[in-house]
Amino acid sequence: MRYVEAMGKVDRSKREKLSDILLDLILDSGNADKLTPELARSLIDAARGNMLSSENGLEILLEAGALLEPDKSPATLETQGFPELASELKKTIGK
Amino acid sequence: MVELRFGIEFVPMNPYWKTLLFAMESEKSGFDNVWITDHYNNRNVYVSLTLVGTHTERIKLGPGVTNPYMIHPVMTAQSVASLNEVAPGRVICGIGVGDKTTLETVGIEQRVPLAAIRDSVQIIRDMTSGKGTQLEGKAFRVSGARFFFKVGNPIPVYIGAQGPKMLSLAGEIGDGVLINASHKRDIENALRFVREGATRGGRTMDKVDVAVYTSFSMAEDPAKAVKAATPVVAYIVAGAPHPLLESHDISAQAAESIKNGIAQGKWKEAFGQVTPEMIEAFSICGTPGTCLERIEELGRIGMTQFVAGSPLGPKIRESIRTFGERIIPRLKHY
Repeated sequence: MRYVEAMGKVDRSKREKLSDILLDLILDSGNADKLTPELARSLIDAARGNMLSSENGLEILLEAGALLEPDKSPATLETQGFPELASELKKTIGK
Repeated sequence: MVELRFGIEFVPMNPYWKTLLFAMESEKSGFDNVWITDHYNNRNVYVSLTLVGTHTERIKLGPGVTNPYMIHPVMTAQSVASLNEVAPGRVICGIGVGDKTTLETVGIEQRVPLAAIRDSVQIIRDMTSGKGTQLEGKAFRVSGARFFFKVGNPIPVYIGAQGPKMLSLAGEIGDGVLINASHKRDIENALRFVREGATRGGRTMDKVDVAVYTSFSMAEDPAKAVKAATPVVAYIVAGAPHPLLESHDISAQAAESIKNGIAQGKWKEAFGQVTPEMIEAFSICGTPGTCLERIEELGRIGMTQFVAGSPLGPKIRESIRTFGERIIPRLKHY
């Protein structure tokens, strides 16, 4: 879970953007069925509380992104300006 | 001055959390109503609506539309009444005759459609008002059905309509009409019948919420919007009555060919035959600017609620947010 540490290092001003990128990735994914019911509930709760750009919210989004789009998630993070996070996520996924 | 409300349609073909997140985003973006379609082959409409009701505060919600053939109207009444406990005062109910092809797959025939809708509206109103139902209708007979619980407020009933008689019935008895069309000329024609019905029912048009239920696709790149709209338009063209096709200079032969392609699962071939004229006739599609102009036009001819229906765009969340940022503020009052 070293990507969580990398996520913690993301500048606060960029967290909203990161949250948007990840949420779009998850919602546009054709693998929605892969999301576990527990993670789906956490995602909904975080969205309801407007907490998707908090550390906890981003952790949920990263976990969901890794599960639904294991290839696309690190690639998108890299191109969108989060190389360190992309690299750590890639390691966690084992790619 | 034109005052518009905005609705959005979701087809619960995705897992519940996706529909729910889109609905929550719609509330944030300023939409007034969420309509969720009711087909047995997707997720259940009331499960979806209950989740939306528990996770939103303001937005109105309801089936858009259910039908009285698959679901008896007392059960629809019970469902919307129960939903009203979850989201008090925020429930709306859309009812129509349903999709013929889908009903046929379970051996259900669309019998006496006008009577079925007329009876259903009465049953839903009587049941949800608390007085119970006693009805010897042409489609339904109900003797002394009532709930063992109270419903706190009336639930508006909208009638999904496309043909002249159903449009007229909606004008006569509906709290609203959900006009299934996207083109200005079709909506102008539809409005004639709605107005006729309202007159026959001794009502003025301010008692009828004229909701236009469109096929909507929006993107900054118009080609992407068209690509997203194409499959939906192909299905609409395949099922459209010939006079309607002819009024848009679309040949019955072209529609038949698309229909055959769909029936044989040759999607690429079927969708490849969708022309720009078909997109224009059966969807509101394009850049935010183009979509805004077309919605504005509809408001000027008497629409009071615009419903953005499937596919919404190549990226649904982006479409919802763009709609909230660039269309709703401009067209809420103009």
